[in-house]
Amino acid sequence: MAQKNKHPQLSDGWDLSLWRILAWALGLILLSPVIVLLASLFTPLTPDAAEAWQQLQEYLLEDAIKETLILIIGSCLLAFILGVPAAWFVENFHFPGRRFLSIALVLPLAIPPFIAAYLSTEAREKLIPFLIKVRTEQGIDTYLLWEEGLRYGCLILLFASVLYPYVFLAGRSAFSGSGIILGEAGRMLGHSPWKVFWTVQFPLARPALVAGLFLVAMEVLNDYGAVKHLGFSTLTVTLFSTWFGLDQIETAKRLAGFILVTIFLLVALERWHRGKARLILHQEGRPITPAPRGLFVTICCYLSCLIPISLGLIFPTYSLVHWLLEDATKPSAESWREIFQAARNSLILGLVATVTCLVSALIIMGIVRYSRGKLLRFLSHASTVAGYASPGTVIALGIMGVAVTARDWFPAGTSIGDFLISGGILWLIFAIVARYFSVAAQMVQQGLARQPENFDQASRILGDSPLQSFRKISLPLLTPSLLGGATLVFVDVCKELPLCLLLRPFEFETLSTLIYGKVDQGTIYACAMPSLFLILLSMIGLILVELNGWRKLHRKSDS
Amino acid sequence: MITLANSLTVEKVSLTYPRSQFPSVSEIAFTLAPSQILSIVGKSGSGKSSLLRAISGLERPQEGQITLGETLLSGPGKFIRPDQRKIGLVSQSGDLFPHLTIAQNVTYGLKKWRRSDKKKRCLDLLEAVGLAGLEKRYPHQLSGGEAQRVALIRALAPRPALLLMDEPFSNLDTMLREHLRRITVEVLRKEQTTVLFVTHHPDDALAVGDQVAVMHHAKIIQYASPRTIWENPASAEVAALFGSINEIQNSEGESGPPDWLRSDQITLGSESPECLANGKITAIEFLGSFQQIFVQPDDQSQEIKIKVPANRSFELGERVGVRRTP
Repeated sequence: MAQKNKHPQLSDGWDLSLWRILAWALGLILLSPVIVLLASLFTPLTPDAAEAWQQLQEYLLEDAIKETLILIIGSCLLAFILGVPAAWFVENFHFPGRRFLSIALVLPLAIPPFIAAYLSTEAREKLIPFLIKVRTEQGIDTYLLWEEGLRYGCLILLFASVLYPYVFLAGRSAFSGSGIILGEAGRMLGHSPWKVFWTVQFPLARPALVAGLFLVAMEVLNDYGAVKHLGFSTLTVTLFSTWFGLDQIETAKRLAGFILVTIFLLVALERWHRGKARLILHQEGRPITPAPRGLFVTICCYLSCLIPISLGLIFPTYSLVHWLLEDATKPSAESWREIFQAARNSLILGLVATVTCLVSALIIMGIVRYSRGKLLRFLSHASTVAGYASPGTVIALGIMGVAVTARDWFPAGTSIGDFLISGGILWLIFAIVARYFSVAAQMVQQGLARQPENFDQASRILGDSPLQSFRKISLPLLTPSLLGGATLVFVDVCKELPLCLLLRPFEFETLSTLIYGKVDQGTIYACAMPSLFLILLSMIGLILVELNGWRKLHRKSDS
Repeated sequence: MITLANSLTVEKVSLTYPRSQFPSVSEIAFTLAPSQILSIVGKSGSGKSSLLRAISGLERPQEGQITLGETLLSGPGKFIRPDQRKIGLVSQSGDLFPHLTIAQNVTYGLKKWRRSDKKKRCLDLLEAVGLAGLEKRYPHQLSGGEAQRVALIRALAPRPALLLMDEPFSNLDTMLREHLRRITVEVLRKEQTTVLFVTHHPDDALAVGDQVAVMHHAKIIQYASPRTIWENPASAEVAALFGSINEIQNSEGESGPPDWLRSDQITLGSESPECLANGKITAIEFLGSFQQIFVQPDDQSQEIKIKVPANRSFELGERVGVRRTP
């Protein structure tokens, strides 16, 4: 077969330009909800909307901000306490069952906070006799204090129990490898393990831990089901009620815009804080992990793992199984039909969103790698941040804004206009992709960063165009990252509630909306079976990611 | 606070890592006098770094005793933690703390020193290694050689009773390695530290150590002065470490053991029955100050490598005789 001897061109050629345009278009589309919301901050409100905004500011906003802040700070603190010691002991010591516990420590991510809240109902009801006692013996003021404290405490404990894995995962990668090597260097300079942890290992781990805590904070901000179930009015609940309760979408958009600006400022702060520390962490030459010395350290190893697992995995699973054994939760034939339909919808939504996210991520990140354009790099960065930093409710409002603008540009009667009106599910998919694109993008970006540019250069010198090089070299090497990204997006989409509630077409139920609906209707036990489906689906995905090491950047740790 | 350099006694120390079949260190025993430098050389995997980890306390040996001066560091029923042993360690990668300045790195081990004393010690040491003025920089702003020098003085700052150096120059190119080797030996002599210097570079081992220990498969196979190791290697393994080695069948009796001769211990001349071997030149490599000639002996044994001065000329295919250098 004749060899095609192509001389490598310095200019990239026609096909790359097309891809570049596509990458730009995708990036802008993904950013459009955020752009629309930020633009709405500058458009004047209608008189009705202005009045609603006034009322919001006077009566609702302060409490909403206060509740949101307390919940975020409390959950972050407790997630830190649960996640960091576990990560440290798992990375620094080798003890029997470590690998199994390491995987189990991640699994609470399979349980969405709203399901954890529902499953904790019976446990919380056990507090009622205590509260009654306080009320009768110490009066109503003390009772109110206790009631509020316990309400906050329960929700913070719930959030921390199922969200600490973000901190655990961040800590696990931060404490491994060079953290251990530098720890030994510190020990040889005469400092105790405790002192070395605080002066060397913890400062170096801080940026990663802050990133993990940021994810916890975003999840708490994004939550709707759990906070509503426990009677809170956070910013997300206020957004919901402004939109549906007051029917003031413009006011809701303005509030969403302000929330976005605040989050972006926090993201900028976090990036700035991370950028300040020039932490070149090398991973080579990691010593063999020792067994824990002494009974005390061994006990600490196990306790640090078992406490979070008990709170975040064993307790909710036990409640779920307990409920499933009750007759009240046995679904009727009609209910089974509902559940299977919802599961099917979740699967289809998950698959479509996953494929779209991955393809978009490949195109955008791939082009960024080959192109020298700073603007495109910034755009890809912005669309990544905008997604994960925006709560689902905010994205939904942004999508509605885009939909309204699109209908203005393409009115009913035109072919595009009709398509836009009828394509209800498409807006939901659009919103989900906008929100979870960042998960796929980060996995692809990390996967590409691991491939040295020498590979591309070698294949280009052998005659491949950039596209061929990407297809034949980069793409196969990206397989673990793609599989990891696909699984994580799929799990996140299955768990998503606010977006599905807000943007789903009529009579389109996913597992999460079905569960929410059952509880909303007062039939809380009926949520047990669909919850089992949802949690099992998510757990399988998470176990696959952990077992195959798709999340890790370096080789799998020794078992 | 001054800690005087101490003697080091290692008695029959053995170490096997968990989940490993074979020992990494097997019944190692030696004594190092105060202020002496011992070079430990061996191939990768011979157990050198494991021995250092056992002496430093980062690993606990299953057998044997380690004594530093009068203090038993590790033995049956006794184990002193690494941070309490007053032993310094310089590793291959330096391991400078990236979030601390150079000054903070260097003074990290100076616990309970007065601030003025810390500052003086830091500045003195920086000057001794030619890095005066760099106190406020961060590790990522230094070159490889500079970072390695900082790692050295960080370990020396607390005046440890013993300094362990684990392949400290391996990440550096040849010229830089030689330069750093000189600076290191100067500083070590000045500080009068007792030093265990591990390397897989034979010239580093010979240049730095007062004594040299050769490790092979977890054991010490020769412990002698650098000159003795060079001139009288105890075995083929020792000889092979310090230069390429030729196995030349003793022509007087084929049943006798072969001679193991380095390429600088033999030379070329015209063929003759008295030569160690006769054969044909198969390759000539010009290496600047000398040439490497490869000869295929007539008896079809292994190819012989000989070092000859650059000014002698040979041709490919020429027939020559191999004899010992006078």
